[in-house]
Amino acid sequence: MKKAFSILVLTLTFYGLSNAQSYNDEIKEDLDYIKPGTTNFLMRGYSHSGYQSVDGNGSFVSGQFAPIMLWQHGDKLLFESELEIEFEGDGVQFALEYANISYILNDYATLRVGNFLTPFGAFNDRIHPAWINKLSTAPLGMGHDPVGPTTEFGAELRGASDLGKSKINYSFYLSNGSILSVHDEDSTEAPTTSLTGLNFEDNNNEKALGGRFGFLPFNNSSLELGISAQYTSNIGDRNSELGEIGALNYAFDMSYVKNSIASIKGNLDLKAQWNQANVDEFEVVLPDGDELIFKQETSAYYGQIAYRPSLVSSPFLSRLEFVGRFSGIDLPEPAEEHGDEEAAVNSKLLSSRFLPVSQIFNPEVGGGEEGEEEVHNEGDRTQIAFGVNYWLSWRSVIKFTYQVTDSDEESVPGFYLHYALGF
Amino acid sequence: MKITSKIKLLSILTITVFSLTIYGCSTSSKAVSNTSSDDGLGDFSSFTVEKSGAVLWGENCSRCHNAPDPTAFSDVQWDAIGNHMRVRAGLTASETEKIVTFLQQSN
Repeated sequence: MKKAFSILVLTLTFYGLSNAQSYNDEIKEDLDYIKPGTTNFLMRGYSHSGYQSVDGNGSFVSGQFAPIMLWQHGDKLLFESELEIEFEGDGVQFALEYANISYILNDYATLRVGNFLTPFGAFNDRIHPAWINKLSTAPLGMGHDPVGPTTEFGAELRGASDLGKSKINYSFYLSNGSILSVHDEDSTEAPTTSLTGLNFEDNNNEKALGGRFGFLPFNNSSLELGISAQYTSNIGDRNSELGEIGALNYAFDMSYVKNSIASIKGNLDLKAQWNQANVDEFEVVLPDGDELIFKQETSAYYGQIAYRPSLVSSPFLSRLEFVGRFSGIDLPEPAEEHGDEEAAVNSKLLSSRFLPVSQIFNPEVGGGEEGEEEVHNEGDRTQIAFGVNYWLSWRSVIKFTYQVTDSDEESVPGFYLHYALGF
Repeated sequence: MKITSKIKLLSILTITVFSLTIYGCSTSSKAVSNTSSDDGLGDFSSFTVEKSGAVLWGENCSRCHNAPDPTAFSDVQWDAIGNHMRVRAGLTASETEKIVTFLQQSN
């Protein structure tokens, strides 16, 4: 009996120990799985969809899916890339927004190489994602086809530092620059011109030099003033008949963000930016021998105010945000026909202008980050927009936007109801 | 002068005046105290108040977007996001380290 009892105790003990060992192994496996390695992959990004009506043409839109891939190795090496996948025309459009590698040199400098968004103003570089932009549309001349450069292929040194009680951030880069294209050059019609940053195999030997300098004067980082510029001595193709055509672009931006202001019971967010793009004067000779002189000076600007009553007691009201924005774009004067003032007056407004690429190829439709610039195809324009947002969480929002875009010829209303999500 | 030029000029003037007004009326907290003491406790002129990660998180993230919920990501994910934001948004090394530490301790 005593022997049987001993065997029973031993068996139970062995069984218990083996179970405990098995449990420990499972825990160890779990811990090994979540133990951080030397590399770290993460997918972030944003998406939006909804309903919109522009000039009376209403449609549901399944917006874009824009995954951002981050891959980090150790503490210093970071790869980032953004895809943009969206329905456009008859199919799905894929675009590689940027892909670059950053190496953190020290506390004050990071080297970035590859394809990156141009640090030209703040909207293109920081604010354009659907869940960050407070309205459903981008300001005129600031969206996908902005006035000024939008993407670079090159090398950049950027960083930030305290400066007493203030702070600065900077970016300097050398890149392939933009490409000047002249379309329909062989036609007797006046040709169109465009600038694009998709210069992945440099079209000439001249590089663009540019950068942005940001100054945050206050200790609480609420105000940031930025100045950006880019210069290149030639944006035309090598061996082109156009000769060497330089371009100087510059921008000013301002941001003031202050949360939980007691006197207004909420958050205040002010943004403003002004872009200017200047291209050296150049001539295009038409097949009939006429010469057109292009003077390309384009500017775009916007100012935006947003208020969120975050300190009011009502949970519903505290999630609302009210937004107002004014924006405008000034396109260049029509090209002048050399030595013929009458012809200059009659020159084709649309065809001789310096237009964003998408508008040249499809002027009736326009490009489209969130229904951006839908109908307009020519002339200076101004736009006033109002929005009411309801924040479901810190990164998901329902946005209602109403805007009116005015040109010399028409006034186009637009209504947007979008849901935007950052992930 | 074209109407758009006037509007542009007016906008620039408004922004300038507004910026100067904000600067003039700023009551932002000073990071350095210049208090010197006559009570024998010593000189506090070099006493520096460091901002916490929580304060920096609230001040810097909202410059572009809402401050993120610390529970939204894991420790290792916050590490990568911190470096990403350091590069993209122009955060200083010290700010990045404090903000990431705060988020990792609060998730």
